[in-house]
Amino acid sequence: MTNFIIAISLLAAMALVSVLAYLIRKVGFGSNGLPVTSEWIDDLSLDRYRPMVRMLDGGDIAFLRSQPGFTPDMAKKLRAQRTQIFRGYLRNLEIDFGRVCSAIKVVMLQSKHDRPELAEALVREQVTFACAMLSVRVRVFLYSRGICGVEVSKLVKIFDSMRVELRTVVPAADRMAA
Amino acid sequence: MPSADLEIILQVVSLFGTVLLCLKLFQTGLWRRYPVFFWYFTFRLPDSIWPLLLKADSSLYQKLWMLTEPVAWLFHILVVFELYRLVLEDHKGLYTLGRWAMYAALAIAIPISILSLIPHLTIHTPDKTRYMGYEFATARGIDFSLALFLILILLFLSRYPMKLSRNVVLHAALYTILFFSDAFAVFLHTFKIVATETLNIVMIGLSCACIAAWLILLSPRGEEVQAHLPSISPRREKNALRQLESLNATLLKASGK
Repeated sequence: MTNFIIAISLLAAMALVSVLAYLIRKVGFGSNGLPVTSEWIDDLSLDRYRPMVRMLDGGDIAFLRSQPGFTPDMAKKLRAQRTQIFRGYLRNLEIDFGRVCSAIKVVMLQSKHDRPELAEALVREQVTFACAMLSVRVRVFLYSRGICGVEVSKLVKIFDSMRVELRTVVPAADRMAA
Repeated sequence: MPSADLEIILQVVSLFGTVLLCLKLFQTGLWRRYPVFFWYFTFRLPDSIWPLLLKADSSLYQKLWMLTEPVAWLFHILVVFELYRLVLEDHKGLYTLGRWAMYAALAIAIPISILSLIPHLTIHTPDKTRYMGYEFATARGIDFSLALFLILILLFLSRYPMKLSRNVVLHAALYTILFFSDAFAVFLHTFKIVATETLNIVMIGLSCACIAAWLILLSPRGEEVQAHLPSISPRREKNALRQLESLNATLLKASGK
C-alpha cells in the first residue's frame, strides 16, 4: 500500500512539474505574435462559411432519394463525404474564432483601465460559442449516423459578432508582430 | 554523514541564504515592489534561528512551532495575493476578468484542499499531539489550496497573449513548487510513508534551492517586460465600448431573448 501511495504521489508530482513548466513557458516566454492586422480582419469573411449552413440540412439526401436508381449506400457515402467536409469547416471556424478572441484579449491587455464590458462580452461569446459548437458536433455525429440534420446558423452568427467587434477595435495602422 | 548533521548544515545554509536574499531585496529596492515577500523572509530569519537552538522533541520547540506556524501561513496567503495583485496592476484591462478568475480558482482550490484533508482528519492521532496534528492538517490544506490557486491562475493567464516579467514568473514557479512540496511533505509525514529525518532533509534542501534561485535570478532587470502589443487610441476604445453595446443587443437578438 505504501509503495502504491509513493508511486501515485511521484506520478502526480511529475505531472504537476510538467504542467507548471508548460504554463511558465507560456506566460514567461510565449510569443506575442498574432495575425491581427486590418488586412487579416478584412480577410475574415463569413462568406466562406455560408456553404456550411445548408451542407447537412438533409435536403440533398431527400433529393437523392427521389431519384431513380437510389440505393442506401449512396446516401451513406454522401453523408460520410459531407460530414468530412463539414468537420473541416468547423475546424476553420474554431481557428478563426480563436484568433478573433485573441485579438480582443490583446485589446484588453493593452488597455490602461478596466474593461468589464469587454470581459463580459468575451466570456459570454466564448461560452455561447463553446455550447453551440458542442451541440453542432453532437448533431454532426447524429447526422453521420443518418439520424438528423444540422443547424449552424447560430454558430455562424456568434462568429460574425466577434468579427464585427474586432474590426472596430483594431485600427488599420496597427500591426502585430508576426 | 549522519542525517542530523546534514539537516543542521542545510538549516544553516538556508539561514545564510535568507540573510543574503533580504539584503539583496533591500539593496536593489525590490522590497518596495514585493513588500510582503520581503517581510516574509525577514520573518523567516528568526524563524530559522530558534530551531537550531532547541531540541526538536522539547516542549518549548513544539510551543514555538505552533505559535510561529500560523504566522507563516498568513505570509503564504499574502505573498500569493501580492503576486496576483502585481500581475493585475500591470494589466488593468484584465482586472474584472482577473477577479472572476480568482473567485473561480478559489472555488475550485479550497474544496479540493478540504477534500484532501479528510483522510488526515479521520486518522488516529494521539491526544498529546492532537493540536500539532490539526496544525499539520491546516498547513497542508493552506499550502495545497495556494499551490492549486497558483496553477489555476497561471492557466488563466496563459490563455492571454501576455508576457509576464521574469521576476513574476520566478515567484509564481517557486511559490508553486514550495507550496506543493510543503503540502506533499506534510502528507507523507502524516501517513508515516517516509522517515521524518529524510523528509526534513529533502524539504530544507528544496527550500535552499528555491532561495538560491531567488538570490540568483531575482533582479531589477527582471521587472522589464518586452511586449509587442498594438497601441489603440482612446477614441478607438470609446468606439469599442459603443460597439460592444450594440454587439450585446445583437447577441441577445441572435439568441432569441
